Amino acid sequence: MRIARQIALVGACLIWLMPLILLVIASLLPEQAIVDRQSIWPLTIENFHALLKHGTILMGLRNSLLMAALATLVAALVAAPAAYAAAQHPLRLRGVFGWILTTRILPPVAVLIPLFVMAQAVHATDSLLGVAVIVGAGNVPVVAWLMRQFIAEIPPNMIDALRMDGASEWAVVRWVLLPLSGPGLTTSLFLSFVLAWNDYLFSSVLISAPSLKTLPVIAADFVTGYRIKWGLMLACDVILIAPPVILSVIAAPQIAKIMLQRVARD
Amino acid sequence: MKNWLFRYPNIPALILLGGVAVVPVISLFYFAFQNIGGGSFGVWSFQFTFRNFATWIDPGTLQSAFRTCEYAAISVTTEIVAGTAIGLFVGMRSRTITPLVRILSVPVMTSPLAVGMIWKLLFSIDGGWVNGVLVSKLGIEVPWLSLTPPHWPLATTAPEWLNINWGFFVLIAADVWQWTPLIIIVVLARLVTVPQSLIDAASVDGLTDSKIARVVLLPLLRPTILVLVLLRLIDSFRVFENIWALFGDNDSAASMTSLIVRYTLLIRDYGRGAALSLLFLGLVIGSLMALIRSGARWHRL
Repeated sequence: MRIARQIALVGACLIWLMPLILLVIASLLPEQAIVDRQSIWPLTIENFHALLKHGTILMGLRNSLLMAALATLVAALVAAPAAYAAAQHPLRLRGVFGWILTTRILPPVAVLIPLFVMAQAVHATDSLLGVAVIVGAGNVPVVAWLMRQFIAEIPPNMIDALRMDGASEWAVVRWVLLPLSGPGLTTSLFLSFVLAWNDYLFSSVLISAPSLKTLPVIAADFVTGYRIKWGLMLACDVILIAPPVILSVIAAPQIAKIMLQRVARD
Repeated sequence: MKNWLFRYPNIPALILLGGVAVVPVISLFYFAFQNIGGGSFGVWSFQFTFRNFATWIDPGTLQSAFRTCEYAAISVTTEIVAGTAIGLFVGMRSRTITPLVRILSVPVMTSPLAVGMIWKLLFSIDGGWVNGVLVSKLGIEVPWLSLTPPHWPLATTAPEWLNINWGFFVLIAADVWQWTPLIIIVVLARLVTVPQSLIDAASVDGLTDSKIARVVLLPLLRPTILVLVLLRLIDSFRVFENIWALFGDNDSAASMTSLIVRYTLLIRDYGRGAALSLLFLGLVIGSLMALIRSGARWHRL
């Protein structure tokens, strides 16, 4: 009975995943077959081949990786001290942390125009670092919120004991905070990476040089005013969603175990 | 001096968010009173004007403001109700959630832009795959990604601003498809921490499963659900990629986000765009405050 229930559930989930399954199938069909919708056989990899020949895809992969990595770095470097301040710092500074979380309410589109104008004023358009700083800053509230949960669980006695023994603040970070909040840190970094990887708004507005376009922008470029290049676009979508999806399928139970139980408990 | 970071670890976050969030919001107020844009880059003429605020009472703006709120309300309600129900149904008797969480995490991690494109593949009017199946098996064709109202009683006579049309349904379906799994995952993860003895005791007392879910488990979930509603509402106001991918620059399907992007990218009128951004910001903050106020009341019950 139990097993039957499990099978039924996983079956229901597969129906839920149907759009993605259809995406993969469609990306393996010749362009004409996608539009004609007559048959889903034979499958070919010609779209991916054409995408590779199109040339921009490898550059897009590199740009996306670079931008997401930089954004994650920015978010982590800024959020980790703030999370530590809220969780373990003697002064706590709760109000400041609350303010940091509140900035999440701000929709990115609402500050698009000022950021666009500011970026032009300081000549930061067409720069992956510029996009990464903005996108990373947008993820700071999420990352800081998650990190605080993990840092708060470290027994304060351990930190106090180390301080009593005359350890420097850096030693506290190096020998207590980093090792004990390791899994939580990894989870927050992973989520921040995926959020930055999926960013379309700022990458599309702030970057116009073809050699700096990220994957979502390249995928969107296959939709022109008159015609959609279905084959190339769907193949590009598959490449765009594959890394986060594969990583999350591998890591999801761990993430759910170490993160969601704690977040849900609060 | 060397230890300033250890003394005030908040400072880097304050500087970064000040630059990327506070300064832009303040400059929105400045831009909204200026006549800028329209010309080529770098040669802007800044002139004091009130004309930008005329966009606030433009019928198109009011409709898309209403559409944004309607979208948020319908999609968040559907996701929370369906996600909680499914999570309770699955999580009450089963403690092995690993395979489920693996599968459910997939839509959540998918790029919203890609979701929009998949939906375009499935539902576009002439080449959509769903219509392909419908036409060949049932002989009917549904104008999915259009603003045609469905042939239901009342739907065809409803005023246009109520957004009772196939395109709006598909848009909400995309959101619900992507985010209901997140609610299920969180509800499942919360239920795992509920002691099994609580459920056993209730069923020994003769409560049916549905009664246990409503009387025992739902109250336990209430704080979690409140947090989820808040997070989902914040995120549903940000939705842009789906709408842009499915409808692009279509006036009758525009949300506040796509309207602002249009003023930034296509019309290049930054003054009017800033005025619209202010209206949008007011809308978001207003509805969140209303939610928090009523949520606090619900919490005290």
